[in-house]
Amino acid sequence: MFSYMLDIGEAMLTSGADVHTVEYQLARMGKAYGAYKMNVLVITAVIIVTVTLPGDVEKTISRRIADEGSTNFDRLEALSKLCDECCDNPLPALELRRRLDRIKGKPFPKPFLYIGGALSAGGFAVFFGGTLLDGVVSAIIALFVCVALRYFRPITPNTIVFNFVTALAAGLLICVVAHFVSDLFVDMAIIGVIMLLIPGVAMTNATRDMLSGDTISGVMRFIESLLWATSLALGFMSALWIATFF
Amino acid sequence: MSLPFPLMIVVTFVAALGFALFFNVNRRHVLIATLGGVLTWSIDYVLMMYLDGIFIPCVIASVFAAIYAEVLARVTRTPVVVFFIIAVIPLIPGRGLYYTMYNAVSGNGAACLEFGEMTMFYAAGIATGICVVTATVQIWNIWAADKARRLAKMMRKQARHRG
Repeated sequence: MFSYMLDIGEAMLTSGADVHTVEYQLARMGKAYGAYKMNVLVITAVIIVTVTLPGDVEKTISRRIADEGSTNFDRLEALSKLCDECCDNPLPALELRRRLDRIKGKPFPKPFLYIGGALSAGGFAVFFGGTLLDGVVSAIIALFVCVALRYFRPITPNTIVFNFVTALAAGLLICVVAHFVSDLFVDMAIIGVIMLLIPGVAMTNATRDMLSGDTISGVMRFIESLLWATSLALGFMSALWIATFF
Repeated sequence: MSLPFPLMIVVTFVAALGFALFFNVNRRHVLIATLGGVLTWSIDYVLMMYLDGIFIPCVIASVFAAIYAEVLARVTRTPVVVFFIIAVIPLIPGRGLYYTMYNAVSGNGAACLEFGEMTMFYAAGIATGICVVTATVQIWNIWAADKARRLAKMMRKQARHRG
């Protein structure tokens, strides 16, 4: 039973939840399932739970979280609802497992990824002062980035490498397009794509964590997201630098 | 900001909607989350016209985004982060970040510092906004839990007296 709880916690973290939410939900759930005391420590890399059962029986379980995951708010919401439901009326273990598998098995809707990516990159290119043309080019390059997110991301060792390579490729593509379309502002098209890859969720969660007293997780996530942002910037800058030779 | 205000509203709407889809926000909450982004940006934009500097308007807009997210999260029983991220996205200084890096690489120190400062102001503004609201909500939660505990204790005492 308690290992299923860790599964839920892990899935919540990788879907984009902040540490505080996960700790709160796990502690509530444990108590609903009959624990006398719950001691939950969640940092972005590991979950450690000590459950005190009636009769002073203590059990500690932990889970290493290696995958950074990708933000999926629909999944996060479903998991949070499952937790709420269990707190009101604890589900039997098998039923909980079944419900959890169903939530985890629901795939990310592909059209949403592509349409969303194109709209936001295009929108932000215009938002930050680009022309409609910049927006359209940014949206098309964003489609390429979405393909990379879907197929290339799973085979990269970590986000730093992925961000650098994707930024480099997207930057080069934009420079190639700019070579043929003279009215294009390369800066604006790049900014649109940057907004898509910028670790906004990670950075915001890191700030929220630090302010909620979860300093370790907050600082860890913050440094991670700074590294991701730097590799992103380096990727684009390398592309611009390469483009100066042609 | 070269476009007129009504057009900027449309552009912000498209950009925030894009992110709501990109992060797979639940269908029922997509529009309301997007609206949060548009409102937050509008507050920032209008305040920038009346107040000097970047920081204060950004703090106020970020406070609004956090309150909006806290309220909607309670109404819809959804984690706060879902609404907050979409609401705060138009404040994220993508342009500032890009030009900071660009000028750093081009060896243009003065411009790099100038854009870096602007980016930092935005980031600090967002963080301050979250800080204010999170702290207030936590104080409120602890106070409410404490009140509930005391109430329960009082009820038990009364029941004992009656018994």
